[in-house]
Amino acid sequence: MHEGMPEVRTQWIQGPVWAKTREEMRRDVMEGNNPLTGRPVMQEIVEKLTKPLTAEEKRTGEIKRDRGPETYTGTREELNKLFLEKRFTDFLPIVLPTPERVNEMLMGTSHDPDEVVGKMSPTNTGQYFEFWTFTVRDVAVNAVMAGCKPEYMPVLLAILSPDPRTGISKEAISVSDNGFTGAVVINGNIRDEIGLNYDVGAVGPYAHANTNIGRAWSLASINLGNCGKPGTTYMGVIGNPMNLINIVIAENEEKSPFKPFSVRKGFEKGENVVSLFEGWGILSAANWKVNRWGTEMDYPQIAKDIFAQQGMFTPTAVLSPPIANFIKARFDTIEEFVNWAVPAGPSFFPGFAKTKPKPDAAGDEPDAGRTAPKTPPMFTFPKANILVTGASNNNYWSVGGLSYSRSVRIDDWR
Amino acid sequence: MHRFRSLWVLGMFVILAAVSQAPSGMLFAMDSSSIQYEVLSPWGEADPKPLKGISPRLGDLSGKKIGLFANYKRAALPIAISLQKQLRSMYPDSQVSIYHSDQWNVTEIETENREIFKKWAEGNDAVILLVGD
Repeated sequence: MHEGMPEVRTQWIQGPVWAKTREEMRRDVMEGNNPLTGRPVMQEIVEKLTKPLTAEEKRTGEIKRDRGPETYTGTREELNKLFLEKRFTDFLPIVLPTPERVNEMLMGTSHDPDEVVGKMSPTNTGQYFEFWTFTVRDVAVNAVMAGCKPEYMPVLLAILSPDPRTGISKEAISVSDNGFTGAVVINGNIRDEIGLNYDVGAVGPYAHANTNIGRAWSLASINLGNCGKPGTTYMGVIGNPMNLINIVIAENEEKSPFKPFSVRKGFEKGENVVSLFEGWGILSAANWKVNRWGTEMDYPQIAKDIFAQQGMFTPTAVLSPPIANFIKARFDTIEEFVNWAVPAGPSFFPGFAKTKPKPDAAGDEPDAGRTAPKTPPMFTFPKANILVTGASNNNYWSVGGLSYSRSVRIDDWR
Repeated sequence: MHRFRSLWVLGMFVILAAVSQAPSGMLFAMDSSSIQYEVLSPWGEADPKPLKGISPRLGDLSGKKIGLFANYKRAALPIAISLQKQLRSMYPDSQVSIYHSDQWNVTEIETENREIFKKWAEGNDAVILLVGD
């Protein structure tokens, strides 16, 4: 579809494949049957290479998914049912986006309602699916549905603004079978201005702004990027509950002993900035065995030990202020701490290189290609991300894998 | 008398409370479930795509050059190697080669391997793209 070939001949084989031995691969996959048709895989492959093209396969012109009507009319019950059936929602009740409510939401930004904000697809590269383009009004419609207040619009628009390097906006719900989540870190005075929570329960659904901004990003991804349709545009094997409201972190700049994340990315202190991440998510560091309980906890060492166990996405620690202070007692800056804690640098997707089969005498070596693995263009990889938020009522913190992509000035979208 | 006046005041309070809960303009139509709303579509605009069609088929694989392009996904190369063996045993007079790209989320033609890739692709009668986990 993305490449203008919706009729491309695709051969399905029985997966997952990557952990199979060569013998299992031969017996169960290549000499097995297509799991959808039940016919032999090799027979179908040969047919797909040799059977003449159909008229539909030769068709030229243009394809375009129909957006449907600009408006829908009905009773509240009918419209809620319609939005649910059309998969416009996240299965939770929504606020119906009447023109009055959307116009009120648009008061939260000076940008023209018809201004194109960006384009999105279920992958951050735009590969495999066509892009969907969306305007400020489209964002406002989804913000209304999520329950946002107009003053959240600049934050939401900044999150959905395109990456200047690619022109692509970041989806919160990736198609990947891994089950990723989106995450944002918000710095600056806007945290208090719109009531973001960075105290007790900072990363949970315990404040209107955190919860609804996160939910709006997911609804926008569903409706403005065609994301989150299981079986087609969403393939998460297990799924990820964080997709509902994502991870919205307002840093506790006041209690943190370190410079805010945005300042470390080159912005002024107090400047309103949202930084975008993607990854597995986070969970309590207390669940790692290396988090040794005792009277004298060595938190820097515990962090180092946990970081050493992270892979694929950048090790990311969300520290409560007390934990940040333990680290500050030994390291003046985040950079010093990170260089000590992750001396070898990021272990980008370490498992993948090891899965390559060894060449053998039967000519199993690829004939060309085989370049060195490179960092995907959408991500930059610091050794670790250190964020500070939450309350000081106990020594808890969370850790996980989240890769940083970029930071956006929120005030550009006021 | 005093008791009746209290009941009258209470009655007015109940009526006012009911009226204040009704949607504006719906003073006498209390069944809000029948109100018609107009709402905006939440969908973005799908970008149009020019249709390219797919390449003509080969008719027969005997004596042909078949290219297997394995992308960066974990299972792509193992599938390619297995498929290469199968095709070689089925069509001994065919040439089946593998091109393996390790690069994430980039189009091979946009890499420094552009010329190598082009030469390989153009040297084949057909190419199968292999992806998967």
